[in-house]
Amino acid sequence: MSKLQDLEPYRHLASLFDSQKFMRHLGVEITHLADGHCELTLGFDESWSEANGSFSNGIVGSLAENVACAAAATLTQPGEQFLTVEYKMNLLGSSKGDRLLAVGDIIKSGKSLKIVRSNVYAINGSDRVHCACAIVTLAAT
Amino acid sequence: MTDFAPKNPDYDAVVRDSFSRQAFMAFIGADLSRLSPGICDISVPHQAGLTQQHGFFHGGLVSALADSAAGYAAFSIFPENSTVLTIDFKVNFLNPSEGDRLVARAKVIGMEGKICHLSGDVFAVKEGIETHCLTGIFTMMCLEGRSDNANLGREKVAS
Repeated sequence: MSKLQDLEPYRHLASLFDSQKFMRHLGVEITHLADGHCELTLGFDESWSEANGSFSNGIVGSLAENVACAAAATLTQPGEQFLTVEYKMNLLGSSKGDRLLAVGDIIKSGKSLKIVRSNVYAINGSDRVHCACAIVTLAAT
Repeated sequence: MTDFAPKNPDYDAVVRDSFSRQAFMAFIGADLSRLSPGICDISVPHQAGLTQQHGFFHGGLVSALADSAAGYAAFSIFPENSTVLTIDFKVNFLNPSEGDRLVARAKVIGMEGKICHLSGDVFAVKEGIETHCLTGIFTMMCLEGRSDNANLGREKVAS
């Protein structure tokens, strides 16, 4: 898996992700970046398991929100900062898997607002289950 | 994920019959312009009575169109002798809905048990160019064994 440092031309975002201690604490990795697009991956760990062995829904939500922030950051101009003001997530199925993949795509990139659609998939070997979808609204601060 | 096998072989007739009984959709002049299992489009031509103060289509109408498209996209994969109800929806308005026509496009993302999740988008069409006006997530419930008729078939209503 590639690290952000390898993902040119988004090197300037490295400090932003470094400052997100919660994502670092979980061990979330940025696995793909493009303009208006981001993918994050998180491996399973017992410590955030639900009773049935799936990822906690709170973790699924955190990834859905964070991948949206990162996708928005790829289209943010120097000096601009966007923060999440709301998101809505639907849980579609089980998040049982050996890792989660969160994918964020910008739907609208405005000066005041950025609207991002996030999807989260549970990966189990070669199986991929769509476990959540969300729409995230970010506003310029 | 757009391949959903219809559980009801008569889904097309059932959905179109239900749509024809939605008085609000008839009132605004809406047309069910596309239907396949898990997918539904509804369009409405512009008229002054559907606009807000800036002359754009009213936001409530734009949401209602998306809700109706999502409802029928869900209903198209429901079994016989069932009906559909909206549980919740969340929408984001992306651009002013300015055009000759609005088209709402909804598709099923997934269904588990009675709960169906959908995405819906609305586009304003002006001189053939589409502007993305709304995007949203919709949750529908399948009420199996309940009639799709007025009052869920519980009582007769005067037509």
